[in-house]
Order: sequence, then C-alpha cells, then structure tokens
Amino acid sequence: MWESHEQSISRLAVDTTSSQGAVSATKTVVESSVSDVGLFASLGIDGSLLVIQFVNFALVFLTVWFLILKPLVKKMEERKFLIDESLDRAKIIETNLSMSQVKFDEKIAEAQIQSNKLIADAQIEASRFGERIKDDARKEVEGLVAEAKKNIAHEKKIMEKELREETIHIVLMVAEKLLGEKLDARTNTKFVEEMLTTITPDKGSTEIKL
Amino acid sequence: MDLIAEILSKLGFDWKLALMNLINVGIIFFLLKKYLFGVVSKKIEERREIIQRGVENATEAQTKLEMASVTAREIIDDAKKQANGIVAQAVKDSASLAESMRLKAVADVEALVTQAKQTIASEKGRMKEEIYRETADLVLLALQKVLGEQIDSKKDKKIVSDVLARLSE
Amino acid sequence: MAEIHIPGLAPDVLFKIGSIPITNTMINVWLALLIFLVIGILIRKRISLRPGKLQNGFEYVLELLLPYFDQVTEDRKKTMRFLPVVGTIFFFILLSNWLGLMPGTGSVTLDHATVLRPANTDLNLTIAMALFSVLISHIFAFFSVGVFTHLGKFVQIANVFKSFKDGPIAIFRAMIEFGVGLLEIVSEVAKILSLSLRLFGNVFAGEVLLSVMTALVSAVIPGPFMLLELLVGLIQAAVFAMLTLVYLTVASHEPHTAEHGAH
Repeated sequence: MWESHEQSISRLAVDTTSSQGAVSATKTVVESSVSDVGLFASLGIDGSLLVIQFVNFALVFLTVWFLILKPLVKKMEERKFLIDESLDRAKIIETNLSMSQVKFDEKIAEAQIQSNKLIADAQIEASRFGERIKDDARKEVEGLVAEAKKNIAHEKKIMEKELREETIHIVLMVAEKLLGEKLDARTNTKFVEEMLTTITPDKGSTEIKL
Repeated sequence: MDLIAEILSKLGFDWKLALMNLINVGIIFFLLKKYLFGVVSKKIEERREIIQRGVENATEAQTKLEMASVTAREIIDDAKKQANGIVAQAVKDSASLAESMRLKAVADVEALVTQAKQTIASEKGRMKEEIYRETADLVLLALQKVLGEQIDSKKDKKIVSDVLARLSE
Repeated sequence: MAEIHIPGLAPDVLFKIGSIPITNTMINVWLALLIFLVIGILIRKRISLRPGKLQNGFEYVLELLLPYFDQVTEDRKKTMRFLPVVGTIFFFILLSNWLGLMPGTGSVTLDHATVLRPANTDLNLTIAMALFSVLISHIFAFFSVGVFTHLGKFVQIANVFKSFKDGPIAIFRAMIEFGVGLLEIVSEVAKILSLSLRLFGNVFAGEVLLSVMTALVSAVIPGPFMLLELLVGLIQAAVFAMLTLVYLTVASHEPHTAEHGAH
C-alpha cells in the first residue's frame, strides 16, 4: 500500500518536473517572440495567442448564445412576464376583495328592498282580499235583509187580503140581518161592489215600517 | 499526515496561499450573502407572499360573493314566507269577520222579521177593531142610499151591533 | 508550430505584498470578487418586486437550483438557510471556471508568469474552499444541534461510560461506536481532500487540455473543447455545491440520524 503511494508520488514528481520543463520551454518561446511583436510583447501579451483565444472565445460565445442563452433569455422573459402578471392580478384581486364587501352590502340591501316590497305587496293583497271577503259578506247580508223585507211585504199583503175578506164577510152579514129578504140578488151584488170600493183600506194607514 | 502534506506541497500547496484564499472565499461569501442571496431571497419570499395572498384573496372574494347570494336568497325567502303568512292571516281574519257579520245579519234579520210579524199582527188587530167600529155606520149609510129611506131606528141599530158583536167573537 | 504551453501545478507568484505572495490565480479570484461586487451592488440598488433584467436572471437561476437543493434537504426552510453558503460556492466556482475560458488567460504575462490563470487550477484555493465548506458545516451543526451534541458524534465516550451497567455486549458495542466516531474524524479530513482534489484535478486537467489544443491547432478546433470545459465547469461547481449541501444537511441532523447518514 505504502509502496504504491511512494511510486505514484515519485511518478507525480517526474510529471511535475516534466511539466515545469514544458513551462520553461514555453517561457523561452515567449521570450524569443517578444522582439517580433513589439508593443504587445512589451506589455507581456502574446498577441497571436490572444487573437486565437479571442476567435475561439467568439465561436464558443456564439454557440452558447444561440443554443443555450437565447432560449434561456426567452424563458426568463416569460418568467418576468408571469411575475408581472401575477403581481398585477394580485393587485386587482385585492381591489376586488375590498369591492366585494361593497358588493355584498349592495346585494343584501337589494334583497332587503325586495323583501320589504314583497311584504308591502302582501299587505296590499291581504287588505284587498279582506275587503273582497267583507264585500261578499255585506252583499250576502243585504240579500238576507232584502229577502226578509220581501217576506214581510208578502206577509203584509196576506194580512190585507185577509182583512178585506173579513170586512166583506162582516158587511154582508150585517146587511143580511138588516135587510132580511128585502134585497134581491141584483141589488145585493151591486151593494157588495159598492161596499168593496168604499172599504178598501188606505195604504198609508196600514203600511208597516221596517 | 506527512505524506499527505508532501503530496500536497508537490501539487503546489502552500499554507500561506491557502489561508489567503480562505480569506478571499470568506469575503466572497459575506459579499454574496449580503448583496445577493439575502436581498434576493427576501424579495422572492415577499413576492411569493403577495401572490399567495392574491390567491387567498380571490378565494375569499368568491366566497363572500357566494355568501352574499345565499344570504340575499334567504332574506327574500323569509320575506316570501312572511308575505304568505300575512296574506293567509288576512284571509283568515276577513273570513272570520265575514262569518261574524253574516251571523249577526242573520240574527238581525230574524229579529226584524219577528218584529215585523208582531207589528203586522198588532196592525191587523187594530184595523180589525176599526173595521168593526166603522162597519156598522157604513152599512147603515149604504143601506140608506140603497133603500132610499132613513134607517135610524133603535131597532135597526141594535140588530147591527148584535151582528158585529157576534162576528167579533 | 507553436510550443506547447502547459501551466505548472503551482500558481505563479506575480508579486508580493509584504510577505504575502500574490499569485495569478488570486488575480482571477479578485476578478470574480469584483464581478460579484458589481452584480451585487446593481441588484441590491434596483431590487424590486417586479425584477429587472439582472435580478430576473439571478432569480431564474436560483429557482432552477432550489428544487435540486430541496431534494437534498427535503425542507425549503433548510434550503434557504444553507443557500448563502451553497450558493456562494456554486456561483464562485462556476464564475472562476468560466473566467478561465476568457481570452487573456495564459496569453498575458508579467515577468514571464501568466497574469491570469483559472482560480481553481490552484490547489490552495480548492483546499481553502473545501475547508470553508467543511468548517461551515460544523458551525451550522453547532448552532442547530449544540456544540457538545455535535462533538459527541465524533468522540462517543459518553456511551462507553453508560454501557458499563448494561453488560459486556453493550460495552463491546460502545467501543465499536467509539471507533466509528474516530473514523468520522478521519472522514472529515477525507472530505476536505476529496473535495479539493476533485475540483483541482478536473479544472487543471481542463486547463491543460485547452492549452495543448490551442497550441496544437490554434483556432476553431479548441472550440468544442471549450464548450466541454463550460460543461465541466458547471458540473464541478454543481458537484462541489451539492456535496457541501449534503455535509451541511447531515451535520445539522440529530446524532442518531447523522450516524445513519454517515454509514
């Protein structure tokens, strides 16, 4: 175990030295190119390497931009839109909520009005109903009274008739007694007629007040 | 441990540099915590709460509106019931009033009829008396005209009053 | 044909401030710090419920990350508590790795030493970060389960004393647990090593690869490798951050659960 570690370490050491060797080699290259490039080189910039790096970077950037960043930006725009919309909606809803109390009150008030109207209507209807029933009753009562009056009048008529007949009877009896057989059939008849017209009772005196 | 230290140093480890870097990382941590994560997560949370509240508010508003409808319907239903009650009561009251009116009327009419009958009967009696009283004179007068002579003897008068007395019995 | 420029394992010291050496990787760290500072100030200044472009972008990335974090912590509150630590690590490693792809890395020199070098090709930085990650997990643990409870996870001596009255089997088990506790200490060191070496190895290898490719074929061909490095940078940042999150989550569990987590 330890041995293998040792080995790997020594290998690593070798690798490191070799890479360091490479670095020093590169440094030499850089040094040798300084005089060629001038200004850039005096600033410690490897011009050709920098240009290559820029080209590579531009390529990578374009690829990433079109393949990844653009869709990502679109998604982000969507997110922003969604957030704006949600916040707007939340605001609207908040207004709606405060308005819903008003609406609630309005609805209740409307219902109250409607209910009051219903009750008022019912009262009117009820009184009309009552009136009609009372009217009916009144008419019935009037009918009853009229009937009674009719009955009374009829009764009165019967009475008058009875009285008349009785009167005739009386008169005839009296006359018969008085005259005995003096009167013939003709005069008798004439007498009776005359009597009847005389003793027809005066309407005013016999009328009955109700 | 020495071995590890040796390997690490071969890999370029230098505790001074590491410490320096640890400080750098610490600075970056506090910077990001203060300027980015803290504020942004607070804002995200705030926004989430607003939107959440919006959703809750929407539900509440909806419930309120539904409740208003229900309550309004209840009020109207109550009113309808009350109205029906009023009408029913009125009908009942009126009917009973009408009934009592009718009963009273019947009683009145009966009383009236009875009274009328009594009046008729008494009138009849009175008229009868008058007839009896006046018939004697009338008959005599009539006979006088028929016969063309005076009938005033005591004997005739007596006959007449006898007949009347007998008839009136 | 250009000479192959392969960076050394150790960063180049550019200059010294007093006795403190300033290396080229440190320049990259400061560059990252500067970028974060600018972004931070800009976002903080314009922070709003309706996010601007920068804030929206940052929030978008955060919202992409948070579900992954939640999978580890299983609790959004914990995620938000750990976010500054894990987020810092993630964004810093990501930015450092990607900064290494910028032109100028390796081509600008000062005193024959490259001025810019990807920050994570410096083992000192990766060890510092691993140390930061492990240390902060312990600090969180101290706050969430208590100093003694947390230390008790590593030095399980209390159980040994308690086991004396429960008979030989209990004593035996307590001894094993004590041993396991000591192993946990070793594993904490291993965490630092594995975190730092993994990141260092990957990023350094990437840097070497790019250097070689650029030297060999100049333009165009290194492009795909740079894309690969973009991905590697992202993956390494994610791995480091997620492992830190796991350490944080496990460390802030109560001891019993922590033991199970460690096994």
